[in-house]
Amino acid sequence: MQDPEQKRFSLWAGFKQSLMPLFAWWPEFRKSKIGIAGLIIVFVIVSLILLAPVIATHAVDEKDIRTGWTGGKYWTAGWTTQGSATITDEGGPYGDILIDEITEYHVRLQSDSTFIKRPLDLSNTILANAILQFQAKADSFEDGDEVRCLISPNGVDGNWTTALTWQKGDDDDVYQLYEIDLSTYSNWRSRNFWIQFESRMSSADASFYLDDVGVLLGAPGYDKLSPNDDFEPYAQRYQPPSWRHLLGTNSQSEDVWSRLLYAGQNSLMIGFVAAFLITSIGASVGMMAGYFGGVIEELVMRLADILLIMPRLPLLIVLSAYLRPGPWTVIMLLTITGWAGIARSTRAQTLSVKQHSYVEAARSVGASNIRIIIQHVLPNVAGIVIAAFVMEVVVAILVESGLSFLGLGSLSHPTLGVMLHFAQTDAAFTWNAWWWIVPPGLTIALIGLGFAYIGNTLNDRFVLRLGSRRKG
Amino acid sequence: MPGTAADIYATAGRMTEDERLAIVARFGLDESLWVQFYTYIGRAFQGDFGQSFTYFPSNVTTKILSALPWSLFLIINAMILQVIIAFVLGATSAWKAGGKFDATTQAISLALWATPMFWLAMLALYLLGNDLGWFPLAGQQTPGVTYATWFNKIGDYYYHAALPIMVLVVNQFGGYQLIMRNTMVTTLREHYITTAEAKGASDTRVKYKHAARNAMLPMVTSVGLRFSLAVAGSIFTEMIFNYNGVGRLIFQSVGMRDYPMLQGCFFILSCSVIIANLLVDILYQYLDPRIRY
Repeated sequence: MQDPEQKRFSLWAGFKQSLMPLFAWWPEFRKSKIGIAGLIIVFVIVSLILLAPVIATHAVDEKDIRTGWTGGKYWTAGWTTQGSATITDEGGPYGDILIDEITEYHVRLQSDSTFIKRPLDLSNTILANAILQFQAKADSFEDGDEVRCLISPNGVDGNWTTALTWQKGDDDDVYQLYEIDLSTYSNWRSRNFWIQFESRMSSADASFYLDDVGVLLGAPGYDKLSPNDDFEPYAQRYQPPSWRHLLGTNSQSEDVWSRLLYAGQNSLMIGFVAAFLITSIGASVGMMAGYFGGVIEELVMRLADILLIMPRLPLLIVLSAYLRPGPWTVIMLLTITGWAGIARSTRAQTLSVKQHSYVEAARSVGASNIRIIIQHVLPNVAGIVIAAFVMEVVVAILVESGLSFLGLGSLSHPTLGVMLHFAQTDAAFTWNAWWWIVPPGLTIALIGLGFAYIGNTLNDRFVLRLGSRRKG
Repeated sequence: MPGTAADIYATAGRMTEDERLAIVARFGLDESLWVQFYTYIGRAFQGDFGQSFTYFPSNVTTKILSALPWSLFLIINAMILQVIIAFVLGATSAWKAGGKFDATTQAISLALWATPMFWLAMLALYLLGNDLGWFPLAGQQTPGVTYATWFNKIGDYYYHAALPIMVLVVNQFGGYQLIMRNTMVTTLREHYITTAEAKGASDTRVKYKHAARNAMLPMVTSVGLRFSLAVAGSIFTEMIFNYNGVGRLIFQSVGMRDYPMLQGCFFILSCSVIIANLLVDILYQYLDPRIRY
């Protein structure tokens, strides 16, 4: 007689049994405090990083330069070469809004197609004459190169007046301070006053640098040009942590906290993908080599030996010096140089599994090689492979951050290592900007530590099967 | 980071096209890739890795050979310290495996292992070198000093190498420690350990004379393989502490796209790793008399 109660129970048991191998590690794993600590750390950090779009306070490339130019002065940050100015905010909060009170003036810097618009608050200044002041430098000028500074006093496009022109031979190598007397432009105090820089370069390495672009406005007899006139070139540079910037700002006035989260995403992504490729390729190669043997095994394992003995980081440096940096380049290089260790250990395990009588039994009833590999070999190497994967995530993140730190990382997808690279090259320590140096390194360390704790526990319990205590 | 050294020169010095081509010809870069490769290999076998783009007219080989001793000084000192620390810590933590001490040492050494070395080096330089002023900030010896005795000389070398070595040790001893601990745990289950205990040998004697001596073999073998990790570590430490070794040479060559130098450095480092492995194999015979090659 069939008891329905029992039937449901046995169904559940069957279900549970089929799922058991997935969770079989858990009862053993949970006994390890280190393993649990690792799981918690990884969970916290990974969820923080994945929540980046929600908890980041600023956009990745957003530079905080909105304050700090009070009193009729505005300094741009990060203008390097023409064509790559990124502080632009065309149509942003200070777009062409026509307002009745004349409280704002606009400065527009143009670099090819890029515009920078920021308002100038002139409400506090008593001004008769105004002087526009900035530093500029032209580099590697060729014949025909030209840079112009244009002014449109009434803010109408197409109504530009040339204020300054640079031509070949001018201003090479030194920054020069330029002052333009605005009083010669009749209605410069109109609603919209625009300044525009235009460049036309014939060769690729010719460049025009603007530095400390500011508009200094003043009246005759006034020494200071505006009420609040401390020299403050980069508005929100190296700001210590505050509510506005949870981890302060860096040399480019960018929010470190937000950049940290996005950089963490990139680091994790690279670490995971690389570790996945490394373990899957390494494990398949190892299993094939161990199972089939023969010439292929010899070839593959000798190649693995060579890779194992070669110093990996110098090899990676040499290889990436030839390649264009990018996240996939790094992943590919990590995979090529990293598969050998896992191949070796899975091969060894496969060799010992092959000796077992159940493999022989399976073969004698006609099981195919693929079936034996999947049914008998794979479950036996799974422990090694999973533990190795977790450890490989750590190694991949560490190696990637090292490469990036040396300046070989991808700038399009900045990782935590790239952050530290810029902290080092911009001499963050001389600014005492610990908030730019400590968090990225600590994040790498915490991610690494979490995974290492998990990996080590898995390794102890399922690969080495070390007992816990020798004596009481 | 593609590009050629000639590009770098051309931007730095604003060269004309003719000058650029002259440089390209000077280094033989106008030949076909196969010819370049063939010449390179031919010369490499004679120990000549060409001329450095950056340190022209210096030879890559001489440049590397003058930097190599400094790197080896760092690496070897660091490795000896690592092995000693790992030996003691590993043996002690395995003695009471699963205990508090075991858990703590494992947690700490894994944490240090997972910390990026260059970051540790940056912090060490800043805190111990800059803030506290205990250690020099750069270089491998005090410039312009004539040493009274060789003892002072060695002392000065160690004083300058102290921070880099410390960072290397702190970051990398964990690997050895894990191996030592794991072998020690299995060794302690052997019958001869029980015998030794039964005949009344003291704990210290059993631990070090009987167990640890045998358990250290896998750790010693791993020295050869881990040598390449130490080499990688030395690149970061040398770069951050401005220590004139091969690592710093590599770092500079990357920035200047000094390919002959990079390849030379890589070759020499690979050779030193292979030699280190050979030495470990030879040493192994003395540690484990059962092994005969």
